[in-house]
Amino acid sequence: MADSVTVLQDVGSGGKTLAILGDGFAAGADQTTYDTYVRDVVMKQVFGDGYYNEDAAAWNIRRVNLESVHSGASTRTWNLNGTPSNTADDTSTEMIFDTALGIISNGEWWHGWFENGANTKKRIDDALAKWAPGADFTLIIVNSTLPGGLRTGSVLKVTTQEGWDVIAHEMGHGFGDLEDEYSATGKGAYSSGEPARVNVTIERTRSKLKWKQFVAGTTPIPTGTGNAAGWTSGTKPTGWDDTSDAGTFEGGATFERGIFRPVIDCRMNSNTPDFCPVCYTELKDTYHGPAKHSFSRVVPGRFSSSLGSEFIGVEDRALTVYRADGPRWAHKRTTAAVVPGSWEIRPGDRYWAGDFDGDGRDELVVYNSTDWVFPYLALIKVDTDGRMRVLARYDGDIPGWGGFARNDDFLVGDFDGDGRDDLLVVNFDDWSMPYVATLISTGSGFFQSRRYDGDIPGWGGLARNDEIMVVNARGTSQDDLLIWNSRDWSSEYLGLFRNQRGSFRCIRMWEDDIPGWGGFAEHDRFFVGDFDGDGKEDLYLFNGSDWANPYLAMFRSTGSDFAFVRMFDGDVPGWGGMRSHDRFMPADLTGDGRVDLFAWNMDDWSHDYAGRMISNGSNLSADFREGWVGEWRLGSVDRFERVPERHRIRVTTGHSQAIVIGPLTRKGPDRILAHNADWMSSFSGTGPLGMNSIYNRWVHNYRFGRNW
Amino acid sequence: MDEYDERPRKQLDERAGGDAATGGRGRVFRAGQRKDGRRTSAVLKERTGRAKPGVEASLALYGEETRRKDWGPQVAPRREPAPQERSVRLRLEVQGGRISVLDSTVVDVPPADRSAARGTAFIEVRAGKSVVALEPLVDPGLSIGIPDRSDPADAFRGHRVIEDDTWEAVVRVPVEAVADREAELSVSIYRASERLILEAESDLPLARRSRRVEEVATSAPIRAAELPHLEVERDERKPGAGSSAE
Repeated sequence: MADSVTVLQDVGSGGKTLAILGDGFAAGADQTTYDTYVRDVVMKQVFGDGYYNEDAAAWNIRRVNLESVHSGASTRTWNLNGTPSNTADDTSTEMIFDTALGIISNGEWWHGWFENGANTKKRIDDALAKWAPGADFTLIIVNSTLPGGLRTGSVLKVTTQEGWDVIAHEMGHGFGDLEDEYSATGKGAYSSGEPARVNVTIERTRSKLKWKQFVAGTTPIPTGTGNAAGWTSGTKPTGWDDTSDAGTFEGGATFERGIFRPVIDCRMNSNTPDFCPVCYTELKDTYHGPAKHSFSRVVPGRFSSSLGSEFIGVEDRALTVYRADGPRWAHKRTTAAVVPGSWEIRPGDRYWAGDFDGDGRDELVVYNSTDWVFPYLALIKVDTDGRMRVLARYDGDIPGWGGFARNDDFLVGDFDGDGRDDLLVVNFDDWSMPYVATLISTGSGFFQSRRYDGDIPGWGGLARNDEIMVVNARGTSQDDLLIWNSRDWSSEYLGLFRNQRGSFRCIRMWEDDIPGWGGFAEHDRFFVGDFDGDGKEDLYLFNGSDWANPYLAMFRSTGSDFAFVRMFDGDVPGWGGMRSHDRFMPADLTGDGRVDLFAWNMDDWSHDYAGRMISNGSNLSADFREGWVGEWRLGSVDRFERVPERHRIRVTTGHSQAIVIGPLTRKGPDRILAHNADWMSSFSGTGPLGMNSIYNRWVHNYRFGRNW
Repeated sequence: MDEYDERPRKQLDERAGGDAATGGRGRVFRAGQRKDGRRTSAVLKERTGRAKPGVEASLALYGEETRRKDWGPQVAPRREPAPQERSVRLRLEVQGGRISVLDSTVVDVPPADRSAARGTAFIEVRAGKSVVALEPLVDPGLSIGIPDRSDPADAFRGHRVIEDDTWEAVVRVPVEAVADREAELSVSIYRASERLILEAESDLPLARRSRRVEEVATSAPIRAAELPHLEVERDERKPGAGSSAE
């Protein structure tokens, strides 16, 4: 076997590069041992959890397999001669073998655990120059039964006896230039000036603390004094978290006193805890850019559980599952670069959520028609721990469709009523006629059940500007379609389509008007939602630009028709006047089972507005916020998503508070996610819009303070 | 007068449907046709693009679907690395405050990120008066051994820090910085008194940009032509036939 490199993770240009090398691993079984260590310790344990998982997309990771002639690193055994601190009088015996890098493992702290053999430095550099010339950090795994780890600048050597926690701590130094926060026994007092690094200080004044933003006003400063102090300022508060609550604790940078660290115990102290808020924030600031983090694209759903609320943050090279934790959000897991199975995450990916296997949890469908030689479609499952895997992938085509194309678009709905969401694929742009097809889910993939070339029976011809919507008009397990076209014909048309005996057909068509609307017009917009709570999805219609006044109307579904309920001429009570650029999103804001409208307008007024239009079943009443929703400043760059919620009903008896009946679940009020590139907020609509939480650049619930 | 003054109101009390032209909008019929329930859009021929193969043909083309656990890598378009995706990798040796270039090679990776350099120590490469590289360094000149896990809690020694007499560093510079054979490169290493966040793009050397840095090592000027082992495409002629060869 010759030397080789395997790209374990490719996040593209702009990312940092971690090079992993091995020394003392011969060809054959040794290489498997090396590969397994890299997979299990580095990829799964270090990058699989906590901070490193959050910013995994910052790293291109290249595993270099170097073939050593000898299995096992060279070793040197030191005799300290009873004077350990005097290494000059030490003697040694050695066994030098022919290994790729010539590293000598000595298992001795006084001798730095490792020593260089002949030309080790050059051999390491030659390997990096050849296999990972862009390496920003190098991890060398040494095949030795002795303990040891040694970091020289951005090169870290460890033996196979060292675990993920050592690597995680040392990467804190190498990635974040973080200081140690532990104290060495007998090291004494620090006596120099203010240290440069962000996580240690000699400062004793609260207002001058490097990390004052993370220290609550009720926390005494200093918080702990004495050698390697914990909390010494009176009674430690109940619930104080030794890793996440900040103060100033004496002892750090290996000194026992005279210098302070931010928390009692951080990864930079004892390896296994995650990073404290100071270290965490420094790392997040440093790698936010390389990871190409952004809140611009999100996909709401319930992915890892059938209960609660989640969304997936979609970035250029990563997918992250976030889960609601009360009014706040928490990072659950990031998948960087590749979804196993495999799907290589790229900027051109487009995602749709749906319960395609009928298990109560959503999966992801992803389509990319721009970043590859031909388009790809895949179905991705999210496991309960947030890990993702590909269930099915279709390269270039799905049988019967006749070839994916650039402008294929997808809609999600259960079109055969089997409890599993399906796909409708449409293409109005790339062919000589429009094509539509139903892709029925099998639970682990899709098959095309029917293709419509140019027309759907009863529609009179598909056309370029057909707008298709999914609607559950009957309140059954099977979804219907609405198609609207106001541009391609001499009349405006709205059609209701039902899948009957495996084929969609138009069961109702409205030409130029729907009774009560007063005439279709080019800029009519339709919003689907069950506003009367009868289980059948109804319609809100809006036109803000074709008439003297903006109009909004409610039409309830009868199952095969839409009956006029109410018209709002120019205003909805409480809204302050409709305008042409009013925008709407159906959502059950109050959790009463009736779908309301979340509304906003960032264009027509001197201020930006967002608010609610609450349905009582037959009428709407509105309220709004001007400029701000809590701390969220409304703006034209904002995007909004409806995030559904489902929770378990706790049914108690008079005798016990325990759950006695279940599982019973019900839909909760939808959350509204407001987001743009750097900011994300969650609104509640159970009353006038309120802000539940707000995050800048990353989702992290600091115990006190924030990162801006 | 606002944007709505010239538009009609909906005739909500009129019978729905019927002749839409009397809907009060003064609408002009567009050039399209009415749906007549008989013709398909194949008649429209909106685009001159090709038609999809039929469903049966598509099924035949696709072949049998097989159950797979891993579909393998996706096929990316082939492309040559753009010029800005190459750089010159310099391997440096630092001894006693003096920096020398041990090796140099062109690599197919871009220079280090030029957006920001963040840290408490830095390496800077200048070509003439321009800064062509500024990267953070961590613990320059130090080898730091991990704590001994067998140390008892009351005798915990922590890391073992060794100051190296001679140590190495690597930095990447843009290929353009060495394209001119006569370009003079110089390298400096600085320590900062506090964590700095610096613009990596600058015309000023770090020593003149910040008072919070101290230069701890520097190199003598090096002509690009003297960089060891470097082969860069330059516009130069072959040596004359009369030049001596070793």
